[in-house]
Amino acid sequence: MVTKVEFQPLRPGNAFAPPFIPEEHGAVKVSHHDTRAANPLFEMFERVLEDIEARSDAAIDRVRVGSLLDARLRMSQPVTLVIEKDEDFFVAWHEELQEFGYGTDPISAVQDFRNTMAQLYWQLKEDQHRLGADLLGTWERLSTLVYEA
Amino acid sequence: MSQEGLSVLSPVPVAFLVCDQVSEDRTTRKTTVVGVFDAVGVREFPGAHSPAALYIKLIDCEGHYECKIEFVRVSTQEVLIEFEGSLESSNRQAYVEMAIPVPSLPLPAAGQYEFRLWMNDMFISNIRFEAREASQQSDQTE
Repeated sequence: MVTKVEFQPLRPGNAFAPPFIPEEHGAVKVSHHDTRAANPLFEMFERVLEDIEARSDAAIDRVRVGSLLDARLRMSQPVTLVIEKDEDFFVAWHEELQEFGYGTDPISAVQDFRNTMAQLYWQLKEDQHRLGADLLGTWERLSTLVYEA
Repeated sequence: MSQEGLSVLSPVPVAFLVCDQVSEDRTTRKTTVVGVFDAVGVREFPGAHSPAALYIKLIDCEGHYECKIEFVRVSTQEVLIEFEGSLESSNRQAYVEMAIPVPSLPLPAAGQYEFRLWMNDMFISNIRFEAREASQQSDQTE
């Protein structure tokens, strides 16, 4: 049985609404010609670019995931990942499992986490009879959260 | 999005493709996905790309889902377009297929763009493509 769903756009075509300014305008023109003092638009560009950066950093701070990047595995319940920025990288962090994923943007970090969790599941399953106390605890938590389809 | 009455079972993505169009044969009910791409050529920025459509196939759906798709510029994490819809599935073992035509995609600058699929506030999957400056002779979609 196939279910088909049609979606309606909520906010079509609002990409060009303020405060959008292409990155190349601020960066290239100002730094090459050193016209900061003479160019009254510079401060406005700078404020807008700072605003875009600030919104970018704060865009996603938590992501719920309920599946892993392995079709053989399912999760018994969704988990919430905390997204943090670490210099040039983003980290998707699960506190209880003490596991994380890295990426150059929040979603890449989440995908890395989903991949890492799947690999960890198979690795710990294979080694479960010779694990130390810490990893045994991780396996016990992971095996209640993840199961094979 | 209220969580009341929403399934906590997370669908598993089987396919998530961005393409030119998706059509269904009314006789066989088979779906045809036309022009899958992962890069587009744009004459000048800011620009736009059309036509485009999304093809999504999921399994492990059971219950009611509120769905959201975001079209995002990856470098700034700016959400350029959002779509919302809902689906109901009573059979976890059945595939759920979605064919979604999307409006002209705004492309403010060269770089990576992605569609993100959220269901009941859970992140399900994403698909990316790259927007490049095109020479006049090159195809618009690669």
